[in-house]
Amino acid sequence: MIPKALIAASLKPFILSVLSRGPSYGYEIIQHVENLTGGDVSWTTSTLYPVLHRLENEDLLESFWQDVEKGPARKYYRLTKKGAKRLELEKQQWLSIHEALISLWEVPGLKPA
Amino acid sequence: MFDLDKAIATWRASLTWKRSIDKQDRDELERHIRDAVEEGVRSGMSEEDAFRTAIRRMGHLPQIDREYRKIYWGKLRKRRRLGDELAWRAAMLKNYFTIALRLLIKQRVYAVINIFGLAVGIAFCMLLLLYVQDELTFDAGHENGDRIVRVVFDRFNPDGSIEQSHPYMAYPVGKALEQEHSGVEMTTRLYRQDIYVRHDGSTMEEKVMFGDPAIFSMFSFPLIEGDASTALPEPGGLVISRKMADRYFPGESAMGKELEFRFEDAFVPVVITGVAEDIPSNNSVRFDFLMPFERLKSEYQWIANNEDRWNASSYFVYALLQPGTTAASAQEALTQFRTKYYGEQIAEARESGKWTAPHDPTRFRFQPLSDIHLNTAVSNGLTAPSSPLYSWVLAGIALTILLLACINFTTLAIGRSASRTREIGLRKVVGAARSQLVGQFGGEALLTSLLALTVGLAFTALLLPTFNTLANKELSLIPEGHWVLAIGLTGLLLFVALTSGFYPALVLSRYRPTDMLRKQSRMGGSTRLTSVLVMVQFTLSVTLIAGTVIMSRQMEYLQTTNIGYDRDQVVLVNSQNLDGGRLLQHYRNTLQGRAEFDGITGMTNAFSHGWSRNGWDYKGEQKSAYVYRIESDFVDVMGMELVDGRSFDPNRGSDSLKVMVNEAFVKDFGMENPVGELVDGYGPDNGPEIIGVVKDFNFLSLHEAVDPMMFIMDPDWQLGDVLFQLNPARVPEALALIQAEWEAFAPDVPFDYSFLDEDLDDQYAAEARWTNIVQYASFFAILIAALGLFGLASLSVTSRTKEIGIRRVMGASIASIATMLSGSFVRIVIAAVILAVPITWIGANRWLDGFAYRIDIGLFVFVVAALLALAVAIITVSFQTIRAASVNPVESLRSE
Repeated sequence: MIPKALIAASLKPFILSVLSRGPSYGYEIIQHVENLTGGDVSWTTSTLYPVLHRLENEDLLESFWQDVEKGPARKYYRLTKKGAKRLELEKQQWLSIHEALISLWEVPGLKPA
Repeated sequence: MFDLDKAIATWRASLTWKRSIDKQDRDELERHIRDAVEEGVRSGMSEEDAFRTAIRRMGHLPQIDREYRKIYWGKLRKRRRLGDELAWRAAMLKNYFTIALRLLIKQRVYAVINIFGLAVGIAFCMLLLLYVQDELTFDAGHENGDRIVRVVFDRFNPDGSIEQSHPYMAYPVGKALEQEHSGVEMTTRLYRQDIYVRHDGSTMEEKVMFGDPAIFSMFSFPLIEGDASTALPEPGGLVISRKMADRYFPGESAMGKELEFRFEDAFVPVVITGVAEDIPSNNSVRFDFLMPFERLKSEYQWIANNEDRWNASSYFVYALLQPGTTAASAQEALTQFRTKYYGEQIAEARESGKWTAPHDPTRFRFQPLSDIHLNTAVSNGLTAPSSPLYSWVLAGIALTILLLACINFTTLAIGRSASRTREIGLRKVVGAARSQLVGQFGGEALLTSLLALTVGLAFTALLLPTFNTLANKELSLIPEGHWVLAIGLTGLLLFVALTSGFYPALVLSRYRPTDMLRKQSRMGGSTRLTSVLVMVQFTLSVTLIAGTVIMSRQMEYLQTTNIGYDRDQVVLVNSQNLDGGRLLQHYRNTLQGRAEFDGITGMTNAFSHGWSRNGWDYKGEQKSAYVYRIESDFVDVMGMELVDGRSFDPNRGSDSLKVMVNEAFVKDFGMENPVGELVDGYGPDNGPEIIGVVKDFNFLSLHEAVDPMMFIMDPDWQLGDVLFQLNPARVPEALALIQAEWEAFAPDVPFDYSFLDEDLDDQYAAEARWTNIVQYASFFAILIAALGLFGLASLSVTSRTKEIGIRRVMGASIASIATMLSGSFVRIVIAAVILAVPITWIGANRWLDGFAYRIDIGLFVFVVAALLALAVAIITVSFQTIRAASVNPVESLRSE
């Protein structure tokens, strides 16, 4: 069970990373991440959408609608240039933490820096 | 059969009233659910199960709402819908405002009760604010204020505590301190004298200040005309205030003009060399006329005699400390200074064995300017210090009144809430959040408070002149430092709105809409909280009323108690620096024996005009006594009682070397047979002989017990006051005669007189003022409490209309119904009275302890206060209850 705080902290990099592979929508993003983590990381709807909207407010994402056969249209999100830059930054931050932890744990094949 | 579209529609509807989630968001969420259901069905679930799972994973509605709300404003900005939102909020606000206004108009009586009460409370608080602001900014207007100090003399008790402090210094102290104390940059000596000022043939008595030219470098007294560095050339020069310039030379420049001053006997013209801006009343150093200090010695012989004397202390010394020096760090050098000039005295005291404590018996001390006004330990400065206690008393009174008004608001709002249950229920059903309702009711309280504030400001303006008289201040509604007022007003507004609106808002918004809509639920009316609040109101009111009664009775006691001599019908005429002996002789020659007068006599200072106290070594013991020089017939004319020996005899010349004493003197000096004994150590040889003992009388105010006192007839002591015992039947004629003879004696000097009893009453001016303030407060307190009760009674009666009708039909009498309805209120008031007794008892005893002569608080006081409060309560309540009970039951039963 991954603690809530960590899940919350990883929410933004997850969204940005998923969207860096192409436009997607809320349901698909959740599914995607669940599949990747084997269900360890799973967000409720009420957590995900407001964050998507906030990223959109901050111009990291933009959205468009696509009609569906039945029911309301589907709202797609994609990364803006600003969002792509932010992803780079997030990536560096996560990697630096990741590397530091790895070096502490002395995983075979990775020498301490 | 499960219908997905229908289920989704129902679910969407539950989101409809959440403003944080708009249509786009709902679309997005619906799409999400549909996707999830599709997937669930694909993996073998039924449509219904898939739907339920999707909904569960969505989270609770309040949680969704909360998350969406966090990004609400950002979204509005992004979607350029900020304007719509604000318009919607404005519309809502307008609706709240309309409802609030309609309520105010519809329930006029309650609105008036609330607004009037709050306005009175606010007015009291405003007055308090103005008063406190004035006290706090006292002496604060000087640029160098933090470096200005006053030199103060302290006399210690052997245990190290200070026995007495005063700010009087000897003539040479000021200049010597300036030259010798390295921490002192400059000093000014100050002396104030009442002098007659003549201009254009009319003469006025004015207070004239004498100071060194450094006064303008030390204090910030801006000059309108003239130059501060040359305004006080010695020995001439005169700086007057703008006010005086306008009075004596209206419409023209006063510079270079002349005013005539009467020093000793003759009027002398003095040229005006400067006009100063008026000094605000919250300054301890103020002047309307300022002349060089050096002039004093050339105009007054007795002051010239003081020039080199270190033991005649009559002058104030203010010093400007060097930058970086504090009163504390300058103390050591000041002690050295004192040792240099007064070391002999201190050494003598030690050698004689009278002083054995390790510290010196006396010292000088620098008292910071900011400390002068609120430190009552140093007496007799240029202005009387004011006790900070008064600020607290006033704060207590003001907050009490405001609290009473806030309680009215709360109880009436809760009481009236029954009539609003439907509105609240409806608002809740159509989606109002609790916070919105709290906001709405809070807003209504704010609106009422705002109205009350406006009315309150008008009340303040109306009450200010009375208050200025009562508090002995010169406050104006728009004082110099607006900040305190601005902050105070805003604070007051929020405080009132919060205390009065907060609780009703919480209560009203708490109820569940279903209860509210289904039927009139049991809310409002007389809840337990309401009873407690009403009790608090009446406790405070009764306390104030009882306090008023006690204070008034004590004041009456002070003014009527037997003080041991006749004070009615005694007229005082001050000799005003003329020769008192000759003046008395003149009056005796012309008026003695006429039917208008029962006696004419004289003394140094009438008991109301100051005193002198001498201390000396009596048979190895340090003793002191008050000393008055009197005329031989004084004891007789003043109606004092002789308990032993005889009075002075004008025909025995040797009597001028003898003394009379009072009973306290005999006791304190441990004499068995006082008549014929000598007062050892007082004067030459073995001291004067005691020829008589007078019964104790109160020569000081009744704050003080009777201390040892001596009458002397030493002709070296000047007579300051002539006293006339008038024939009560011929007072106007007597006054006319006294004035006519004064004019014959001193045509230059305006005639002035006073009645002894009035002078004596002035000793209690402060107490009289505060008695008056408490009187006003208790009047308004009981008024506000009664208004509140009136409102509550009317509410309670309204909610029981049907019950009353039924009881009447069943045969209850009007009286029994009225009694029943009033009963609960009367019980509350009785409980309040019981609570108020101990509170008043403790408070009043502490106040009375300030008097050596005081009344005892009898039961009577509380009976009066209790009856008054009960009467007010019963009259208020029965006005409503009797009216309700007298209505024809047919009417009340039909009413809806």
